[in-house]
Amino acid sequence: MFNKVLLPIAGYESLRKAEKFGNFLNALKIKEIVLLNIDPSKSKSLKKISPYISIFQKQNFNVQTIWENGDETSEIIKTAVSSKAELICFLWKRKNTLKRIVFGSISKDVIRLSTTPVFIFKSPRKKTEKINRLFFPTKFEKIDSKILPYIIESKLTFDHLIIINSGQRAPDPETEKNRINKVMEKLKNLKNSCINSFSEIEIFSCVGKARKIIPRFAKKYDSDLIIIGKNDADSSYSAILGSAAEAVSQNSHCSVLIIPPQ
Amino acid sequence: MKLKNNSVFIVSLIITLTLVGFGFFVPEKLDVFSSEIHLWIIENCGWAYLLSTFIFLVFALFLAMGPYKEIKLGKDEEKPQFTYFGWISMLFAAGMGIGLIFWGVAEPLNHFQNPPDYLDSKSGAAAMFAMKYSFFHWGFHPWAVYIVMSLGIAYFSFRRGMRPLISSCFYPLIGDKIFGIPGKTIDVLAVFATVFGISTSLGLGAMQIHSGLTEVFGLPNEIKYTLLIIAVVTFFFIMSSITGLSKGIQILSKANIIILLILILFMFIAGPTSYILNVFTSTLGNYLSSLVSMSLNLHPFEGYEWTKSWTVFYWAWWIAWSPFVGLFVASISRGRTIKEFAFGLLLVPTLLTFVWFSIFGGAALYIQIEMGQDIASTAVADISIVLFKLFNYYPFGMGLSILAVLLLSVFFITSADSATFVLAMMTSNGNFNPPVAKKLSWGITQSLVASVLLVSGGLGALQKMSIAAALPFTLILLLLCVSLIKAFNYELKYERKTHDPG
Repeated sequence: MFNKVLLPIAGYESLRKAEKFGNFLNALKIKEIVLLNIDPSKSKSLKKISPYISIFQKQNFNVQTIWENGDETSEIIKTAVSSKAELICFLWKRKNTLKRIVFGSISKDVIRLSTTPVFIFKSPRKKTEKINRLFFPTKFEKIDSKILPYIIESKLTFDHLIIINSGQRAPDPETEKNRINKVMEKLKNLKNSCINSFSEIEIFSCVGKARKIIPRFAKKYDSDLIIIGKNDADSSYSAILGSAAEAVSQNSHCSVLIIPPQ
Repeated sequence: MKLKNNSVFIVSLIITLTLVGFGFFVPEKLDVFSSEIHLWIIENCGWAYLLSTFIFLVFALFLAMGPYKEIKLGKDEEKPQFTYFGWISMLFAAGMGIGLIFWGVAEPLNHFQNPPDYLDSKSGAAAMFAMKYSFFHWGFHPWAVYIVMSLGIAYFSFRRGMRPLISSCFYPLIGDKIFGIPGKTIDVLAVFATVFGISTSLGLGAMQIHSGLTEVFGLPNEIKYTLLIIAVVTFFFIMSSITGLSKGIQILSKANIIILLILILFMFIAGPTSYILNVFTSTLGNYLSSLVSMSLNLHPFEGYEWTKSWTVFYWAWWIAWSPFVGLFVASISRGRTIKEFAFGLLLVPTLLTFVWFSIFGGAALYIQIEMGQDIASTAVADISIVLFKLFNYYPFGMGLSILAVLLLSVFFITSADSATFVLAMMTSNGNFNPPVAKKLSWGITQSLVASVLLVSGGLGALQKMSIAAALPFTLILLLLCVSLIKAFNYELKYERKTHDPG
């Protein structure tokens, strides 16, 4: 799926979470981690990030460390390109609404601006650390062709796939019935294209805004990872509130992998 | 009779009869109860009415000019069922009707005599204010409210093939719940608002016809004659209702518009013509230039009481009236495009209303200001008689009064006829050809309600109850705007273009 990932580290992230993150990356068969620290004083920050280096090394990752100065969002995106990382990762820490409004969210900015896939890691709440349920929300758009290879490749990690479509309800019951039939047909096609990669695939059609429906259903079906495409041509609604992918990354209970259209 | 299919009919009939029973046996208690609710709503929700009604106006303009304007209220190949003249006549008869005759002279004179605190009574400024606010209360806003309701019903029933019920309009928002308790509650509320709205309007209309007959023929001012008027008119509107919508109401409405135009033309030529034209032009300019500020101004610092008792009351009244007018207007608008529908409803009846107010209100102000006759005090003392008093200053005064009584009677018949049809339709699961038995039962019920409450004195309480029903309806109308936008977007995005409905 991915070989090399970039992980921005400030030094205050939980070591326990970093360890769980390492386990998750191991499950995804990832080999190499580039740790990025954005701090003008290299010597001070080395002390701060050395515990993370040793955790990842213990987990058999090839660890590389980079120090940069400047605006965090642009440095993360720039370093991902220069270090040839295939995935930008964030160790998720929930901020309350006020903090989010005042200080903003670097992960959200990176999701919005980056052309590299972004992974938001959230510690699994399950007692068992085994991850096996992949959640794929689709709108049957072009981006699906970018996401499908990742889903099929992930068969080694996940054995249960949930495909869901959340659409707009048609204006009348007759049209709605036809809409649901069409949606189910497309979901079945998607299911068929993944049928050899998973032991179980479930498909669902529901009504509502993707930004609300996806986190709710991902939790309901006890998913371990949501894989979602980012659509640059989203509506004016998204232009104000951010894309559905941004909202899902903030509101879901589990980790989220965001695939950009480029 | 299947209970499930008639649940709206049974529940609304029970609510109606229970409240009428209260109004008959303990009118003073019903009055206290309804006054408290009414006062609370007017006191605390005035801003919501003003804001919502302004939103409806903006929404109506957006529909008329926006991306959805070419959508047809019917299948693409359908043509309008009624001619323009027939359509406008029926719109006007259902939307304004008796009320306009009732208030055409009385409202400007009332504002002139009792303006808000910051204006001097009977001053030039009060006269300008009186005309401007009469235009405002009867202008674009009520029709914008009607547009939202009727467009929703027409679109979802004629284009989307659903039942012509208010609940059907909420399918994009609540899906199949429209067939359950939420949908039935909306429909029962609509029936409730319609029965009480139409009954109070009929009660007031009968009183005015009685005043006219007293003025012209010296009919004694006794309640039994008002009841006799209701009985006679009930006979006619039930007959009209049974003959069917396309015949009865259309013939009567067209006849009424002709009488109305004759009356307008005569009053214009025989009255102070240039004064009326001055009033019309100045008020129109004043109205248009201050439309936004009037729409959103509650006058919280001075004149708040006036705004509450007039503007807020009117807005609540139009909203309470909207289920009835909405269903009726929808039923006659099949085959028109949204642009045609919205512009037609916003401009034509409004212009006719402005002409009516300028001629009748302007003439009354001329008599008051230029001739020095105190007609305003008559208007404040008894609003039902002032129109006939005005005719006394004109040649053929008695003939004009007879014409006005005729006009009132026909408006009475058309309103009651339309209401009977709408109520029967609403309580027959949206059947466009409701059973005669249901038409009869609603026709008799509304006349009975008007008569019983006229005798017991509970008519005012009933009017307050129907205004209380306007509060939930404001929310329903706002949600209807959202539902319409969702449906139109779906149609443009997935049905007119080749997107898939994923």
